[in-house]
Amino acid sequence: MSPGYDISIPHFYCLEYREGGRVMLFEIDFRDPVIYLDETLITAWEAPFSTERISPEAKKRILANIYDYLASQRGFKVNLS
Amino acid sequence: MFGFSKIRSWQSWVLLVALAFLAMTPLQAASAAELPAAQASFATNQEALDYYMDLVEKLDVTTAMGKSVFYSGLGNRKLAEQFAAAEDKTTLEMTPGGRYLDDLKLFEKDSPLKPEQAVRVWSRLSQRYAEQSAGDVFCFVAGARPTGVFTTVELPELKKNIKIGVIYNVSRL
Repeated sequence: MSPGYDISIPHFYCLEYREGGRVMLFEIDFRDPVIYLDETLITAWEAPFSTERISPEAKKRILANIYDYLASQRGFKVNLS
Repeated sequence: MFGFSKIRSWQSWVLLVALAFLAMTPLQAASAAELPAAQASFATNQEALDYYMDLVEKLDVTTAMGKSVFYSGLGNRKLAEQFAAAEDKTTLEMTPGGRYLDDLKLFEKDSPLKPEQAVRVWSRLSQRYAEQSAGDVFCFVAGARPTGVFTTVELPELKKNIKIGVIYNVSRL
């Protein structure tokens, strides 16, 4: 069953998050031994949804999905705050 | 007579430089051609790590004097890349070796390396990038984490590199 989102790491400094036809790019330095996730990383969807407001609940869900992917599925050391 | 010798001497230098350049060019092309086009398959993660740790020593991350740009921290990649493009400078992934390693996507799901192993490979390439840097360097590192690769690997390497001039901490363009 699909989790409803898709994540890829196309660059050592970028995580790409896809959900419901939208794309969000995160600046994360994967060279670091520990990855820190918090809401400041969430800025906006990529165009054409860049003006769309992202609710606090959506931010929490997105961060939780990324944490699950990186920490639980992939084995990265992740600090979620 | 003196003038002619001077001209001859000047011409000899030009010729020597041209010959040196021509002699070096095929070697560089050959070393680039020796790099594998795609990821090989490995029996174990350790075998893959050994392979990539060896490979990373061969990748070309050289930059000219005063051309190296570093970045770390939220929002700094874009700033550093804009600065590098505008000022004819270079970030790690703009070097042939950085680009090559980036294209391998070692942090992706199908990578032959575990995440901590990919971190080791990238950390070593970052260290080599700092090691070879010379002259003034430009660092976009506002908000860089104390445990991050810039603070723990690149900056210490820059500080002990006697070829380095000034380490500029650039917070904005």
